[in-house]
Amino acid sequence: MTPPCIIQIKDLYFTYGQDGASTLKGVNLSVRQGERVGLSGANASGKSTLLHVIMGLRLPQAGTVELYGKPRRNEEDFRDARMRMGLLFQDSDDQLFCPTVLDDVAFGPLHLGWGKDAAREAALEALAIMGLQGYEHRVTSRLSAGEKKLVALATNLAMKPDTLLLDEPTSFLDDSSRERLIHVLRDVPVTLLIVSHDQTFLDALTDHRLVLRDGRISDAPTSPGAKVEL
Amino acid sequence: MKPCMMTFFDARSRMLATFMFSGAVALIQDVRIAALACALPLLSIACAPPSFARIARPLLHINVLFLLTALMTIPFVPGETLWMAGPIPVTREGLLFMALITLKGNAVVAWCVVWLGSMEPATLGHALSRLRLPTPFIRLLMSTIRYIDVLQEEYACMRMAMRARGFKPQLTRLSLRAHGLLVGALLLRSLERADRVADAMKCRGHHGVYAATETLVWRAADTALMIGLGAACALLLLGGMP
Amino acid sequence: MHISEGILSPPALAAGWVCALAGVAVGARRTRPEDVPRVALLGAAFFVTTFMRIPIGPAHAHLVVNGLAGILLGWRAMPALFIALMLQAVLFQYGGPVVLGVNTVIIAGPAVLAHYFYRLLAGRAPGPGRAGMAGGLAGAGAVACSVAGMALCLTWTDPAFRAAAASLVLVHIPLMLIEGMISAVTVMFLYRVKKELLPGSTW
Repeated sequence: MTPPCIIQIKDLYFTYGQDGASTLKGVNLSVRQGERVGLSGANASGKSTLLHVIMGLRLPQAGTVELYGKPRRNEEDFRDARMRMGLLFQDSDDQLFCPTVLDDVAFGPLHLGWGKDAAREAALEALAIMGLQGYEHRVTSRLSAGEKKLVALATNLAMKPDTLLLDEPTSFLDDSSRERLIHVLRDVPVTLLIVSHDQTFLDALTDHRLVLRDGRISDAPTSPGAKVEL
Repeated sequence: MKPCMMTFFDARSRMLATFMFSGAVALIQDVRIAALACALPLLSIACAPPSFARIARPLLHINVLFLLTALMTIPFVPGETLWMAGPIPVTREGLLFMALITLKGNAVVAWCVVWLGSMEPATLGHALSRLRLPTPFIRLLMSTIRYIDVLQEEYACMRMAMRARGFKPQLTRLSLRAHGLLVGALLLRSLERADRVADAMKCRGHHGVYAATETLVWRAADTALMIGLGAACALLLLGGMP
Repeated sequence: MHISEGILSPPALAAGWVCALAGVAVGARRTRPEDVPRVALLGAAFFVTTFMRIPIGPAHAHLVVNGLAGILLGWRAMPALFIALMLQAVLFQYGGPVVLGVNTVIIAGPAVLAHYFYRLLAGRAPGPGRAGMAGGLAGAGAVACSVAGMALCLTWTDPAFRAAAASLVLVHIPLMLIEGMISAVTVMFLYRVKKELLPGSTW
């Protein structure tokens, strides 16, 4: 039995601003439950934009976005999907908007309605998974770039998502944080869509590789077996 | 490790104590009571001495201001002339007037340095949140606190880049224009980051920030502080109000 | 441009708090949850800009840029600047806990006025030159109002402060001109780069 489709995108067009240059020109993408997909492409090719469209942070000019089998057309539609799908932002400072680590990591669960104690439990668990025990009361602004990235991922994991979208997770990361990231992501039972041009990172974590070029997605040259419809 | 107030007292009691003391001092109108009130910050300094730089800076700042103010105010306070500094009368009332202000100002500043000086901004946010200030305000406060360091770094980077290209803070048209661009660039980056943060908040389902941390523990010492200081302030006011 | 603790009379301090809290409440009411990031980030930005110093003769003047804050935020400048001032009081002991109310009214009040002044001067869809001029005048005007506010508070507290208040005003005239120039440049820059940020847009 084929696993259900988590993300299904058909014929997506997205343009930034009024100058008319389309970033995404007819993107088709299908990601099924349990898959681990890597997406690379040149700078400014629209990879981050695609992730933002999937999360409903930008609405496309044309095309359809289906998450968990349901079409998503407006802000309302995306709300429940966001509770199951986590996005790791490229700049951790954008994602960590609370003064201390525990505030940030507990924030998601609190908002999911889990109650203070359950949220705190979930936060501490997520920090432990990331190897960040003892970081709860640290002030976010004082952390290193690597620590911030790991905390940011903890904020996603605390919500116990079934899917993770990662936007250039290894940029500005030192080797040990990168190793930690690989280690954690290998073990966590989620569907993954990783945007990155760190080829060894993608090698370690993904089964299929895609490329975003000229506004469209295709298989990456060395990736065997297309499970992606074009 | 040097003893400081935060090891003995909860952030909330420190904040309440500061308002209590400052409020009481603001109401004092008698120089002798103001001098008496200075005993409290002096006692605090003795118990938890701040570093010299930490206390000297604000005190120097405030006293230079008071000195300049005194030069321009004392001659205009009517009263019994004690001596003449050239054509300018130095009155007894004038000296008392400035003495009152100086004592009050120094008392509050010294108190704040000792009781609040070591407070992390994040702790301030948590304390105000636990003191039940309105949630919309707390959300704004926490978010602002969070991004000050980030923006400070961005500002520092931009300024360095400008200096590398010969920028010097001067009173010239070119330099002022550069300042304008620096401010503009900082504001622009802040707004662009704000949009990204708004996106991040959408992804986690809410706008605004709650405080989940429970590092603040109210202890007996805090209650004692409230009662003790309350009594001291009441005594000062009974003696000092007209 | 903070008034220190110890100077003002209790009635002035109380009036300051009443006005400050009222203004902050109005600003907070106009801040929808989606606006929180913008207001917070701009508040943080204005906190950072107060560390900019311009040398004037032997001394340094710290930038206030409350005019710019008002132009970009309108009434939302009241909570944003209140927070910035509170943090300055707690972290650096600029101003103080009780005089915070008055300082907020002095600095954030003119910011709100600057917003409306800018809209009046710039009108709808101004060119960059006109926007810049409006920004410059609003910026200088905001500082002028702040200084006037300080002077008024001092003289209300005690008539003996008149001379001190007058010299305060004189001493700040160079700062008014400098802030005006800087505001003009900043508004023109923002106009060229992202026009929607300036008043006239929907947010």
